[in-house]
Amino acid sequence: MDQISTSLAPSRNVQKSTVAGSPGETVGSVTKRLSNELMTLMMSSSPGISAFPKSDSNLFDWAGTIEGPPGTVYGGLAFKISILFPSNYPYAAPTIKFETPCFHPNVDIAGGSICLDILQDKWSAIYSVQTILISLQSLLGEPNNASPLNPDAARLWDSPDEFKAQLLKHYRPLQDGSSA
Amino acid sequence: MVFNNAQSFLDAADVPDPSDFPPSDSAPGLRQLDEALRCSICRELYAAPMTLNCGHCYCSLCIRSVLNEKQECPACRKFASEEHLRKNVAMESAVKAWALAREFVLRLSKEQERRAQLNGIDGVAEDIEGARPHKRRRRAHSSEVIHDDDVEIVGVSSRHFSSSGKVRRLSAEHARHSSCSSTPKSPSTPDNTDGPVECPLCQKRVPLDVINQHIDSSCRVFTSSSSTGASGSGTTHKGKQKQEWSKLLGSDSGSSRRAKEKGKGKERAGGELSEDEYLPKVSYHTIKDKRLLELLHEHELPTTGERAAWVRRHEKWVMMHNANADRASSDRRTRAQLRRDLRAWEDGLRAAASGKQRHVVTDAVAYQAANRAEFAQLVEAARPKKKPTEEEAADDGQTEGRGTGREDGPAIAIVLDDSVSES
Repeated sequence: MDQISTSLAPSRNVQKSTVAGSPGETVGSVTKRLSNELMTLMMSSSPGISAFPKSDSNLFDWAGTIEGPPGTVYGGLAFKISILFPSNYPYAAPTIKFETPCFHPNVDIAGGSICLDILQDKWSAIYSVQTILISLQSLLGEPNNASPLNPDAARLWDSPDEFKAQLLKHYRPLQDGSSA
Repeated sequence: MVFNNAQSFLDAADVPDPSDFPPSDSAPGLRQLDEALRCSICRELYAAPMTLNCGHCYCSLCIRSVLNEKQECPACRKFASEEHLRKNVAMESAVKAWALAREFVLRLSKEQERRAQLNGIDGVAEDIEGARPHKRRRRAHSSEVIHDDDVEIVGVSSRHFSSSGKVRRLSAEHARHSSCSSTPKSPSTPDNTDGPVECPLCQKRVPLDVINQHIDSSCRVFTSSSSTGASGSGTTHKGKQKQEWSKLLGSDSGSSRRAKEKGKGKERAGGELSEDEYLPKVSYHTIKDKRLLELLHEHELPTTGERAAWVRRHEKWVMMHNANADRASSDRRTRAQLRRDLRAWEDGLRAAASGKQRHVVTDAVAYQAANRAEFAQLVEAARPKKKPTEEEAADDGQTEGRGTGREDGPAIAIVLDDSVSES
């Protein structure tokens, strides 16, 4: 991790000096792109989604929050997710997991892994944290019941009351103050 | 706390992005303009912009990296490969101009915004005009049209007309180009069996009779061996047949020739490989370690690490080199600069990898001892920043004391704690 902090420091300076996007393209291009995404996320107000690096020293490890879309069983609930970026991001998809247990047909209730095509074979280099979070938010309300990771949830989907009961049984509200 | 981190990060990193400009109600089109001149993969202003068949445009290095993983356009998923890449010269010059103008326009727009805030609503209309570049404003004055939208239309259409002749000429030229590139695209036509075909690896045109040797030699052999066939015109039919077979199978005569070519190729690549020459892709699965090392030596690249690292290094080098060749010649980086870029890229990879495996550091005390000098440096660097928030520093010290038992490197200690609770 000492390597990270030292490798981050010069790249920030580079950004400062190359205001107009000069061709220092390969130098810290991943960190550049990640800081650009962070900027976009903070500047644009996307309702119900947010994400930040967990610590100052590692831009490759983020924590995010998704609020359940209103009008669905997930309305009023908030879910914590973790985002790990590979070193060849954005040419490979980040690894995303639900940290808050999420009872959902396409989410593994124990491990938190997500079954979503754009996070696997349909990943594209122009997707961003923002587009992922928006997709995840809409996945909450519109699951793909054809290929469920959680068959119980897929079975209960059509009976909202039972589904909600299961959902709330697993759900832990997040405490904002605590780190990690 | 998480938010504080992000905030402090953003304060430290000055990331130029479209949101630097005021929103479109006070500076119409500026954000969109800045966004339109940025690659959607790296979010930077285009470097050597390249267009695909579908019309989408990306930096050369970005799209080459994508196509290396998956042969489709990242935006529309239409099939795409490196041979479809065409330089987007117009975009390149637009980006170049914008890179020069950006800071100036940014300052102007900010000034106008400030003035608007001071003047109240009265100033807004004035501001909208003021935020535009000088040239446009001058045009608005000269053509006696006052309404902004009208000016825009007039400007655009007149430019269109004046350049239409040029456009037609260009397109004719383009058609010629495309026709000449498409003629040999039918290599399977029976009448020109010896005609050049496109090498699937390097996309160069290679005579059909040497295509096998060409591929076997990692895209080195370009000369046709038909000259040898011509000299043996007096030979019997049987001899000719034998020759044909030797061409195909690469028998001893063929391989000796190949060896000669190989030697020549090495000489040539030693110093003469110019910066606008494209490097062929290499099929790494089919070459031996020795050849791979030769390739690295040829370009004066380090041979540290193991085979996987060599392949990664050479692959990236080829991409960087070819992307560099796509730049306008005045913007090209030297090979020494490219080598530095490659090194920085590898360092970045290593850093990211070590970040992911940070739970490896189980013995915090030993780790700390090994990195004391660096920690001291970091603490020293952080100290002036920390001064004003004495309380926060104290808090941090308490929580981190558990991890290291010392006040060194708070950020690192947090990470350690994180990994413990996660795993």
